[in-house]
Amino acid sequence: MSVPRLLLGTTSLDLPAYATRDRALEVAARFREPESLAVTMIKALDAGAEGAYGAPTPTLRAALRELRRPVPMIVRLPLTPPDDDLVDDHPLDVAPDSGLGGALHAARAGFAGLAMLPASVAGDLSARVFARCEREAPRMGAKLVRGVAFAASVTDLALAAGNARALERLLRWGRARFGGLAGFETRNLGTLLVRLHEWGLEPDFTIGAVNPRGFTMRPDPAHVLAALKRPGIPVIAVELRAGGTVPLEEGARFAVEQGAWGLCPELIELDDVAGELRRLANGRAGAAAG
Amino acid sequence: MQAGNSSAADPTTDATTTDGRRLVVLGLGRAGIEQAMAAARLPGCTLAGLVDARPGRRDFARGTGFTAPIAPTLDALLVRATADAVLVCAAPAERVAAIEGVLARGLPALSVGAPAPDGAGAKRIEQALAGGGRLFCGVPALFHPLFRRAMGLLQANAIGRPERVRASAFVSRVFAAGAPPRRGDVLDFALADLLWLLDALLGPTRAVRASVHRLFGERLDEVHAMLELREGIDVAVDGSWSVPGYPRTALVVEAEGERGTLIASDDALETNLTIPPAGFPAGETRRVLADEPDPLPFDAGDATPVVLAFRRALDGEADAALDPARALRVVRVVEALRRSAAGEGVTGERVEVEP
Repeated sequence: MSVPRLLLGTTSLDLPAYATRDRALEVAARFREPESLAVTMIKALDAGAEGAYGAPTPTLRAALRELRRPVPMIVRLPLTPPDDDLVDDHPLDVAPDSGLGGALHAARAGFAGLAMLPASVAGDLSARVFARCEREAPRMGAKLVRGVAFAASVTDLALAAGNARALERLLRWGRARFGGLAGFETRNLGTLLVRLHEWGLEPDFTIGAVNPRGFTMRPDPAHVLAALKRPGIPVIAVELRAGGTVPLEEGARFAVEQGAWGLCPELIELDDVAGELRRLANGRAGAAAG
Repeated sequence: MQAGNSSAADPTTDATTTDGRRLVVLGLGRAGIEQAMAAARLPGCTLAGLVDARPGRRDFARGTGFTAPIAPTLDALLVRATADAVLVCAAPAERVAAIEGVLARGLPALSVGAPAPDGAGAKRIEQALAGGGRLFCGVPALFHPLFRRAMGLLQANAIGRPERVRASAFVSRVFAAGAPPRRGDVLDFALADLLWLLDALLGPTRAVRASVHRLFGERLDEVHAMLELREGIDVAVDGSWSVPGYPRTALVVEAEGERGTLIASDDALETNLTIPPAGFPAGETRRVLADEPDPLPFDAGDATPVVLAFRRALDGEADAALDPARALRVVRVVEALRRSAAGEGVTGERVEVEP
C-alpha cells in the first residue's frame, strides 16, 4: 500500500489550528452541517486527493455517516481534544487495560492486540495509547481506513522521553490493526526524523510542518530541511500556508521541492477545496512527468 | 533502546551528557509531563527527576519512558539525584505547600500559572520568599511572540498614554464532552491569564468592580469587570468559557491612546501609529504569528517557552515576565473579583485589591 501524495486535512475543524479566529469561525460555520463536509470530501477525491486525514471528532464522524461512497481515511489517533485541559491528569494517563480488560481489548484487536499484552502489563506508554485507540477507533465509522497516524501528543511525548520501544510497538500494532499504513504526527519534525533514523525505526510516513516561512518547523527550518533530504521516511507536509501567510500553491511547491513525499492541506487553508486540490494534484502529476 | 534525557548542542540529537540545569518536576499530571518533556529536550536543561505522591502517576511517568529517577517526595528524590531547580506542577490546592518545600530546601522554583489559589496562599508564598528563596512565575501568554511585541510597543510609548482599554478572554469549555470541569470557573480557567497579561502590559490593578453570570450551574461562567489600574487607567474586561468556536483560550487586548491604537491577540497584532518607535512602521499594520521570530527548539506544549525562560533566568538572563510579584498580584485581583461579584448579573461593589 503506497503512502498518499495528497490528503485533505480535516483536523482543523475541531482541533486548534494556526489561523485567525475569524477564519477558524468562518470555516467551522461552513462545515457545521455534516452533509457539507461529506460533500467536500467526495469533491476532494474527485479533484485528485487520495483520501482524508482526520480524528474521530463528532464533526467528522457525522460526515462519515452521511457518505455512501467510502473515503479512504488516514485516522489520527488518539483524539486528544482541547478540553482535555479540564482535568489535571495527563490525557494519556488512563489504565493500560492489563488483566481481563486488557485481554478483552487485545482479543478484539486480534493478534496485533495480543502482542501488546506485555506492554500493558509493564504499563508502557504504547499500551495506554493502544487502549485509548481501541476505545476510539470503532466509533470513527470510517468505511475505508488506509492507515493510522499517532497524534503529536503521543509522538512527541515518546520522542522527548526517548521511548523508541513505544513508537516501535505502536507502528507494529497500527499496521496490523488497520491493515495498512502507520505513521507519526509531530510538532517537532526535524528532531523526530533524526531520532527515527538513529533508532532504525521506519514508519510508513510522518506528518509535520513544512513551509517557506519556516513557521513551526522545529528545532529550526535548517534542521527540518536537512532531515527531509534523507531518504527512507516519507513526510506528509502540513502547515503549508505558514499560518495563512503564503499562498497554498507556493507552500506546496516549496514542500515538494524540499523533499516532502505528500501534502495535506487543511480545510482551514482552503477556500475552493476542489479547485485548489485539483491544481495541487495536477502540479504533482506534471512534476512527476516532467 | 531508550535514550537518556539530557541537553545537547545540536537540538535534534540526544547525547547522553548530563550538562545543563538539572530540573526536577514536582507533580506528574498533564502540566508536569509537559514540563518534563520540555526539561528533557530544551537546550541547557536536563531532566533530573520526577516527583509525585500518587503511585498511579509515578507509574504513568515511568511508562512514558523517562529514565530520570522517580520518587514519591522531593526528599526521597534528592537522596538519589542532584537538582538545580524544581518545576512545581502540583495541583492548585497543593501548590503553596509544594513551593514552600522547594524554597525551604534552597532550590529555585518555577510555577507556570498561579503559585497560590487565594490571598492567604499568596501571603504564605511571600513569607517563604522573605526567607531568601527564589521563585519564578509565568504564564504562556507572557511569552507569546505577538504579546511580547505588544509589550515592547507599549513600553516604547508607541500609542502614548492608553486612554481606553478593553480586554477579553473567551474559550469554549462548558459544552465540552469533558464538562463540567472538576474544579474552577471562568476566573481560574481563562480570565487569570488575561490578568497576567494586563499587568505586564499596563501595570498593576488597584481596584475592581465585577458582575457575573452562572449560566450552567453553580460556577461562574461569564464575568464582566472594570479594572482600575494604579496608573489611573480603566480597563473593561469580559471573560467567558461558554462561547462556541474557541477550542483554545482567545486573549484580546485593545488599547487606544493619543498617538495610536493597538489590538493584540494571540492570532494577530494590529496597530495604527502616528509616531511609531524606531524600527516599526507608521500607519496601519497587521502582524500574525508567522511574522514574529519564534526560535523555540522543541514544542512540548504551551508551557515550553516559560520553562526555557526559567532556564535562562537560572543562567543569569533575567526576564521580567517571570516576576513572582506579578503572580501574587493576579491572585489578589482574582480574589477581589470574587468578592465584588457577589450578586448574579449585578455590578458589584468596588473592591480594593490588597497591595
